[in-house]
Amino acid sequence: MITWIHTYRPRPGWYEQTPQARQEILAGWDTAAAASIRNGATRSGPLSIRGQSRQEHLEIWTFPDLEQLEDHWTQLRQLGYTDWRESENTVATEIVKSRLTGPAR
Amino acid sequence: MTAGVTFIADGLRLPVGRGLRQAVQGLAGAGWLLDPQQIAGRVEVGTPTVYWAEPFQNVAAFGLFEAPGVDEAHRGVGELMEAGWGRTFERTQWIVGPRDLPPSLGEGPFEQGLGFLALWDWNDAWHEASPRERAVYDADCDVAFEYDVELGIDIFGRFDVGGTSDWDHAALWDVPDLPTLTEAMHGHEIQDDFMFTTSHHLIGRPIALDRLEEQLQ
Repeated sequence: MITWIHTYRPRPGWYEQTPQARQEILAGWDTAAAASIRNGATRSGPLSIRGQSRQEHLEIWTFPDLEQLEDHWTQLRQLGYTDWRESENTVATEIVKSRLTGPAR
Repeated sequence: MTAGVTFIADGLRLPVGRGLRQAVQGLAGAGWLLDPQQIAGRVEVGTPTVYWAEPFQNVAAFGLFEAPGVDEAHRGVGELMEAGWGRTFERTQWIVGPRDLPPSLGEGPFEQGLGFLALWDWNDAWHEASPRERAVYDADCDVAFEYDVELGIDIFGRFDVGGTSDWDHAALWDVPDLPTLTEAMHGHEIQDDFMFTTSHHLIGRPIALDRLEEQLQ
């Protein structure tokens, strides 16, 4: 399982959109999110981080595997996501230990 | 001596322009290696490849080309920029430096492989360490690198980039999947690799430059 931490803020052009145009764009992204969740993803958030970071919102997702995350992102990308939002992402996995035991010190 | 041209782009705006495609082909004709599989010696004619990183970090794409020399590397970067590189790969950081270690190859190419870019600096502790302490450290790290290759990972060598960036070294790997990379990183942690370095790591999905639109749009 993949854990995905996604933070974002609107790009300047977002603020030039009418409330109705913004709603239409957001609805498209929500539809894509719902499809990913139907395919096994989970979503926490959005949570506000505006007061304590350079971003606006944070979401924590899980995906069954990396490919599902890539599919999710590609869907968002096709809906203009990267044009409207500045994002920072982090991918995390369970710890996998090697067979190595380290130097004797 | 050949030179590595590592690039990290903050934004990716498609399509890839025709002029840029031609400039990339021009570099291939001038002896550049634009495909890690060419660096590995597995193919004669390479497919210019970038690593798509956008879903995974705060960079959109990265990659490593190998130029015939450092002067050619700098000239080539200029040619790419003039051909519109920055319109597609926004805010690109270029990191150029001579090769200082050859490839150590595992079992690539991989069907669903990931690229891994490592940039690292010797930290203050390394600069303060004695030659003997550094030799012991190097031997401990070698155990981890041998383990990487045992896991099947392809290491496309190492480049000395201290002269052109904040980092001392750059290296590109191909790994079969993320769990294997995670296991390899544990090996480096337990062998105390990060005792003497500050390291920055990126992952990305290899995509042929000519197929970016088809895959992402």
